[in-house]
Amino acid sequence: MQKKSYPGFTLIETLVSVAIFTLAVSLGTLVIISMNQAAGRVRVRDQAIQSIYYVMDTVSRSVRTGTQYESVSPETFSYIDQKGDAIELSKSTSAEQLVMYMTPLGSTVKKAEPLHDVYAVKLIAIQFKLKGAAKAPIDSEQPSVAITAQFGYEYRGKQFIIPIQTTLTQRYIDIGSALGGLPTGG
Amino acid sequence: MKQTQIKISNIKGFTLVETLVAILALSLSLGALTLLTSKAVVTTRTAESRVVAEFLAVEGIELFQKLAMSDLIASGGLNASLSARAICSAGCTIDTRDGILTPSSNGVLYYDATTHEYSHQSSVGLASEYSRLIYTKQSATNGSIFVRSVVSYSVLGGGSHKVVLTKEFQPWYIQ
Repeated sequence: MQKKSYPGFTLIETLVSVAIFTLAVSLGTLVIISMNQAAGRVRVRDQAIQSIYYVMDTVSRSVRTGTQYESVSPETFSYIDQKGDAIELSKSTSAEQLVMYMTPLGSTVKKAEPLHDVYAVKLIAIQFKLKGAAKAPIDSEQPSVAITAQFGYEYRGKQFIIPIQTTLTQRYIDIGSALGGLPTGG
Repeated sequence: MKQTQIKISNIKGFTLVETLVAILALSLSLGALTLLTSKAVVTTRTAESRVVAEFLAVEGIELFQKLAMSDLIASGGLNASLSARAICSAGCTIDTRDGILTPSSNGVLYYDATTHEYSHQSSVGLASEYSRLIYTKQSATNGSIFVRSVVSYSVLGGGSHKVVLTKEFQPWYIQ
């Protein structure tokens, strides 16, 4: 009789509080796991974004200072760069990668230079829409190319796509082709 | 006998209520952590949208550049008609499809899921989270035009962010 009045926890009370505590701890664990995942995705995403900026920066600089824009198919874009080398931009046939193919002036050897690492970012698809070409069809419009590219990165088996679009226009005045004469550029 | 009982009831552990309150406090702090996590996820989405918005803003400036250079071709070197391009004090749309500055206050960009193209033509796609307007302001002193490309994009959970780019265009040719 005396024992019963000791004010400790009863078995039920202990069980209830242990249950609640377990619930709280498992919730906490879930939160930590999901935070860890979010942080992991941010790491992967930042790498992808850095690569996209690098790729587009390289392409923009080269295309703007280039001349004789040409696009034989929506997936390929070629031009002559500032140094006179023939450049072709297209997606690699073997990897999800944007490749800059370069044939140096006075050479016939085409060199391939991938612009990014597939582990950092994948190129899902790319399209070039050319207007005002200096080469066929010849017209008097200032050359420009609209690039739509779908870059993607993967995290935990899920793919995230970043569909970008930008337009680049030639920095050399296209007066040559406007007059129906010489190739453009300085 | 009575004294002993009182003594014992003074040696108390936690009561159930105290334990519950403590657990509640713990859960609350964990809840705050969960909120932080979801905030991190939202930030991830926003960072991706920002990349797209930046390239769209560059495109806005570049499309104006194309117009300015077209004028140079037409005039043969000196751009006398540049000031005629300063029609967008209240905002204009321009896209890769038509390449024409059209005064407008609605800059919604539509995304075509088949060609992956952003344009102002509602007939070719669904309204995207991005909108772009081009503003022009003519300099009172040297005849140049300041072009501002503003891309706004909606953020998950309400509100919108902006990317603003400005470039000065001069009525003579600078490469």
